[in-house]
Amino acid sequence: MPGAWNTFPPMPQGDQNKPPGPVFSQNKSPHGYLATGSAYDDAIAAVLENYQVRVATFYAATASAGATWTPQPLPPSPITVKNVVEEKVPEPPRVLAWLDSLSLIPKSIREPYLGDLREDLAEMTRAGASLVRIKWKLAVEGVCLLARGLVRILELLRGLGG
Amino acid sequence: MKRVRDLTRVEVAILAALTSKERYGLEIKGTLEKMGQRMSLAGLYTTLARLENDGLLTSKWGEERVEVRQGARRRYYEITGLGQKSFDQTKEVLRKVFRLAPGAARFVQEGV
Repeated sequence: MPGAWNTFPPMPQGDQNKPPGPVFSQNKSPHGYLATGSAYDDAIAAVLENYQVRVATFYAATASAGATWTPQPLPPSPITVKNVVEEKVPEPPRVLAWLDSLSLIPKSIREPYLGDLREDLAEMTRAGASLVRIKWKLAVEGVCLLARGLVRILELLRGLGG
Repeated sequence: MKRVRDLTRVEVAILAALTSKERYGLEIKGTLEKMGQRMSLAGLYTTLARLENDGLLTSKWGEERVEVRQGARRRYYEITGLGQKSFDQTKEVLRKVFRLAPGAARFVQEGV
């Protein structure tokens, strides 16, 4: 029925560019939850509903014209408007726990340093930073700490030698 | 006025962050980042220890308990009189330097 397709009403202008799946999957809140039931989701649902009405009208028009048409089953909708999907927010990694037992670094520096590091990492995790970024930050901190320690040892050795 | 030792750029930034109120390490780091001075926590604590050894800062333990710190207390740093004097002297030197630079008059007026 090539003629019938030509009479099929087009989707509203601009709606063709709003595929529901990918758009919805990007609709993420900063807290790690998929936001649903928002105004935007409702707008997508309205577009889909409008489209389904047009499809039904098309089928009815085709049947009244006496044409034989077997509608194909529609794929399941990727949108569940009122369904809230929860993603697990990652726990901040246990970092540099072995440093707690290092008596080489004075406690007045070790304790606030590790506390601040944990606090910083927890803040990064809460802000949705990736595990790679957190590990990278830890690596940088570790290298800086070792470099500072090395410089300190060299200073002490120079003091002993001089 | 008796001169105290010259400060590095990071030291000046840390003292500037502590002129208004006492702060703990991560808070100082955040303030430095707002000034455009990025540094690691390890570097910050090394510099803080040096400034404290030189008598430009004092520190004390914080009382509050923050769960995410897993029992580690915060250490609050405060600028001393000597630190303030050192900071003021560095500021004065920078002011003179910028006065010589063309187009820096407005920058000096706004305060270095």
